[in-house]
Formats: sequence, structure tokens, C-alpha cells
Amino acid sequence: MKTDDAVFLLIALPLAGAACVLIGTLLRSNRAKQVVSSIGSFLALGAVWLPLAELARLVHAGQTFSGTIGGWISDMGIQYQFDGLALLVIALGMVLAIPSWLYSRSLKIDHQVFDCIFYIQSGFLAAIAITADIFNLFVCLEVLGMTSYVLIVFSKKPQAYMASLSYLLVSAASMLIYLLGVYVIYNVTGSLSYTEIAVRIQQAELLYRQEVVIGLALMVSAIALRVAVVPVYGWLPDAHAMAPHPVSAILSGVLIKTPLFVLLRLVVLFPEQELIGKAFALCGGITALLGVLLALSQSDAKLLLAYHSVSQIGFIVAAWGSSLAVGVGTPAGIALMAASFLHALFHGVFKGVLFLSVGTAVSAAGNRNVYTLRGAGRYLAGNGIQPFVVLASFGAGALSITALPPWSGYFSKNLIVYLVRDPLLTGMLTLASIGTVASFMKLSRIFLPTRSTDAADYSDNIPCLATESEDAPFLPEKSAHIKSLAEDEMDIQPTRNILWALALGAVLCLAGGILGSFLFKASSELLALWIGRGSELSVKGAVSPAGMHAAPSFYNGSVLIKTLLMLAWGSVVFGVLQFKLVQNILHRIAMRHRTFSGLFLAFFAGAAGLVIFLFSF
Amino acid sequence: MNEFLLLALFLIGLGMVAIDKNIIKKVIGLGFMNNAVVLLFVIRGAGIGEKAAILATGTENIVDPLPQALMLTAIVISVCITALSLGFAYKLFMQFGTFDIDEIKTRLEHENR
Repeated sequence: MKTDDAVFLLIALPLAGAACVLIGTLLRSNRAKQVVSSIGSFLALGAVWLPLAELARLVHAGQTFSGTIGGWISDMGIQYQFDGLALLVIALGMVLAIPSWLYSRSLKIDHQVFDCIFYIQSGFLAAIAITADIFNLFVCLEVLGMTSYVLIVFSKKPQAYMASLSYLLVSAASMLIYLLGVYVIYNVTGSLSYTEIAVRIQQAELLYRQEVVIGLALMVSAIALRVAVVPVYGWLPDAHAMAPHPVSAILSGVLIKTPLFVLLRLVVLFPEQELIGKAFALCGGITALLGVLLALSQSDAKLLLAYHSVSQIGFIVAAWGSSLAVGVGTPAGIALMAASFLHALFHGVFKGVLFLSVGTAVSAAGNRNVYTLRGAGRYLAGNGIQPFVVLASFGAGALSITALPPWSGYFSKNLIVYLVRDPLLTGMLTLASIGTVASFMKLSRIFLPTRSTDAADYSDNIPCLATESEDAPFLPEKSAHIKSLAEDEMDIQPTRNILWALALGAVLCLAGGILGSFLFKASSELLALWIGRGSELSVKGAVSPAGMHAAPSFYNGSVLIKTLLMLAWGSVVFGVLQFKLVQNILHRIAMRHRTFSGLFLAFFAGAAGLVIFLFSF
Repeated sequence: MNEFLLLALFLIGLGMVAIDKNIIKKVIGLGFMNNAVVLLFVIRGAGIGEKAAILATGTENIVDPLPQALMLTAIVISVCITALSLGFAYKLFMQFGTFDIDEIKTRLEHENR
């Protein structure tokens, strides 16, 4: 077997796993069923690490794998390329798949169908990372989209069907806009493969700048919808909040990041990359701030977390855009891109942990409202789930997202704020960090021991919730003792898998914080290898390993003082939130009317804005 | 001329997806949009030649085969999307007895409170 084939194993093994699981459904005996689906799981989640490890070794030694699938001539066939960037993106997905899959064992669903779709998704996450063909990118995006629509509705809530349908319609329409972009680019360059396009764009740029810019803007805005930046984030919160907990974790952790880093490959083919970078950096800053503001106004615990995903993707996109704006091949650009990737990875881990731990708590309590749910630990214990592990992993996730040392977010968030030079952007990101602190103080209260005043206070403030809290069955002070929910009322089974998944996630949070500098160095090197390979692409600047940024240390006085200040300001914001007036305003924001047409309007406003922005320079 | 007709088809579809309240009509609109894009590609591919692109000796003046091949895939994807969205629409109809997306949203929001 050639080493090139190892690249395809990354896609083939998860798909073979999915096939095994499907074959398992046909078998009569339960034992055979179990054996076959275990083989499938092993192929999809375990065996796939072997080719990845081998490829990582070869890529690190400076090799890249590229060519045409099936040996067709390069103009006709589908091009692929496996390099440092692909390695990073695939690793991100595979690391997060394990805790999510473990947790999904305790969902009350049809496991075989779930697993099958989950493995198809893993396979296509690898496929999208190595594709070097704009039409194949479309196919991969559509398949990833379809798997996530189906995974969302595994929670069987009517809200989930609605959220998934909204996501489906807006994303399918945006994908057709992407196809229009492909049409325009194909018209100008006569090719679909990245390398050919890069070469021909440079020749065609003078004659056909208008067409190129429009085609690029159409494709970029369609992919931006998947990344969920402002103004096209509207579909995300409902979809992520209504999905089953492990699916929320994988959607927030992986599926909004992968398109962003895949977009990087596409954008560097075009001379307009710096402008796109500037636009994305600005959008990222606004996304970070707006996401946190909306998160503060939410009362649903999982919706709050989903808005935090919007906010954190803002940090990632801000660093991503700044990197393109300074030139992704320059030392500063590589450092920013590595920081962006690290935050994507760490966010995937800690947001996964948060979704799983908070999800477990709200499932056990049967109440998702952060204002009325108190004493979640007792509900957990009452339902046979070890509360300590859930609380500890929630703590790990919350400390990571609020960027406290030594947890993973501390390194990546400080790195982004340190590397982004633009004062406006730094300001927005700092404000967003402060809001994150306040928001997690609010969310942490669900684990507080029962106190009668909180809930009573709130029901005084917000009239429309008062009726609910009077007859709310789960309000702690009303129920004499904590009853465990009936077996069929909770949507999860209290098995050990929950605890293993949570513990694994919490350990990864800590590991990320401790190994931060090492991971930063490794991902910078891999990105530099990707850029070095792409010398025929119009990547600005070329970096030598010696010229790369060393990983800064954030364990010095000034950063620690800044962190303390951020905590202090966060507490102040949290205090301000307790005022009636502020709560009323936030309640208005949370209950704002969100229409379906608004999603489309935002998308087209965004696409038009991008075209105008690109033409104005 | 063709392009303008296709643009009109695309925009009608878009309008249906974005504005129409009925979920089924939204799905039909998505189909319109998709067909417009498919036809656009096929017409573009057919523009440069006359004969079908079949591997045989002596075939000259062939059309660009790539857009057709791409559109086969796009059509398959569109069928999947349509099937899936109709499935969701069915589930929602069973729950709420209506296809009106705004009404379903309002009732869901009401349930949440």
C-alpha cells in the first residue's frame, strides 16, 4: 500500500464503520449485532488514529500528499491535498468525537442510526479537510450539513425539528449561492482545482476582476454562514441548544470551526485575501461582543451556552481575519493563525464539556431555566449521577472559557488578545471576555445550594415568568424533598459513560492549558509547512522556522493582574445585571421577535456588504 | 436571454423560501432555486460545443462535460435535501397541525415560557 492511500483511510475507515453499524441492524441475534457495531465503532473512532499518526509523522518531516483522486487527468479529476492544515483540522474533529460519542451511549435513542450518521460525519470532516476542489468542497459541506440536521433532531423535541428545518432551509439556500460562486469562478478560470485556480486567477485578475470578486464573495459568504459570524449567526443558537447534549458539543466544537479553516485554503488563492481578512476580523470582534450580550440575556441554560459559542467563534474569526490581514505567510500571520486554531481546539474541548455537564444537570432537574434552577447537584444525585464529577467538569469548562489560569482558555484567549494589534479589535475582545465572566457567574448559580430568595426575586422582576414560577413543579423551595424523575422523563440514562466523557473533557481542558506553548509551537510549524508547500499559491510572505514567533508565557505579573481586573469587572457587570431595569432590558432582548425571513435578509445583507467592501478598495 | 429567465426562476424560488409562510412552499422554492442553478451550469457547458461528450474515436466539437457531471451530483444532493426537509415538515405537521412556519414558531415560543 502506498502512503498516499493512508490519506483516504482517514475517510474510508469512518465510512466503513458506518457501514458495519448498518449491517449490524440487519442481524437477528443481539450478540452478533453488538459485535458488528463494536467493530464499526472501533474502525470509525479508534483505528483511524493509526493512519493519522503515520501521516502526522510524514507531514512533520516535510512531506505533503496531493494529487487527483482515481488518477484522472488533473483538469477533470478531483484534487486532494493533505498537509499541515488538513492534519490540524482532522485532529480537531477526532479529538472531540471521542467524548461526544462516549456520552451519546447514555442517550435514549436508536444508537445504531445515531452511530451511523455520526461516523459519516467524522468521515466527511476528514474529507472536507483534504479537498482541493471547489465543487468537492460543496459536496462535503452539504453532507456535513445533512448529517448535522439529522443529528439535531435526535432529541425528538418539536423545537429541535423547527430549529433543524430553519438551519436546513437557510443553509441549503446559501449552498446554492455558493454554487453560483463556483459557476462564476469556473467561467473565469475554467477549472475547479485550487492549484489551477490560483495560477489562472493571477492571469485573469486584470481582465476579470469584477467577476472574480463577485464569485469569491458569493462563496465566502455561503461558507461564513456555516461558521456563524455576525450577521449570519441567527440559525446557530436554536439548533445547538435543541440538539441532544453530545450533538451540541460536536456541533459547537467542530462543525462551526472546520468550514472556517477550510475557507482559509480557498481564500489564499485570491489576491483579495487581505481585504477578506480585514472584513472577517471586524465581523469577528462584533460577533464576540454581540454573542456575549445575547448570552447574558438568555434564561435557557443551553441557549446561553449556544450564544457563547457565537461569542467564542468571534474570537477565533477575529484572529483568523487578522492573520490574513497581515499576510498569513508572515511570522505574525502564522502566529495569529496558530492562535486562532488553538482557540478553536480549546473552545471545542471546553464548550463540549460545558454542554455535556450543563446538559446533564438540566436533564436531571427537568428544568432548563437558569433563574429558577438551583441545587442541580441534588437533582443529579437524586437521579443516580455522581454530582461531584459533573460539578468538577463544569468548573473546568467554566474556568477555561472565562480564561483563568492554568486552564486552556487562559492561554489561547490571552494569546489572541496579545497578538491582535488593532486597538479597536482588542477592545471588543476584552469587553467580550468581561461579559463571559459575568455570564458564567450567572450560569454557575444552577449548582448553588437551594436558596429561596433568588427565584422569588426574579419572579417579582419579570411579570411573565411569575405565573410559571408559581406552579413550577421543580422550584426547589416548593418541593419538600428532591424526587428523582421517573425513568422515562429524563432524556438520558445515568450510566458511567457520562462520567467518563466528562472526566476526559475536563482532563483535556487542563492539558490544553499546561501544554499550550507546546501546542502553539506545533501548530505554527504545521501551518508554516502548509504555507511553504503552497508557494505557488498567492500566499503573502514566506516564513523560515527561525523567524517564527516563540510562544509567549502568560504567567507574568501584568497578565495576571489583567486577569484579576477582568474578574473584578466581570463581577461588576454581574452586579449590574441584578438591577430590575437591566433585567427588563435583557428580557426584551431575549424575547425579541426573530423571524425566519430575517435569517435570509441577514445572509443577503452580509453577502452584499462583502461585495461592496471588496469593490471599495 | 436564458440567463435572465434563470435569474427570474432563481429569484422566485428565493422569494418563496424566504418569505412564504408555508413550509411545503418553501421546499418547492428551494427546488426552483436548485433547478435554476442546474440549468445555468448545463447551458454554460453546452455553449461551447454540439456533440455529447462520449469516449469514442472521431468525436469532435464536444460540449464541456464537466458542468453536466457536477450537476448530476447537485441534483442528487437536492433530492436528499428535499426528502429530509419534507420529513421534518411532516413531523412538525403531526405535532402542530399546520405548515405555517410563523405560527409554529409562535407556539413553540409560547411553550417555552
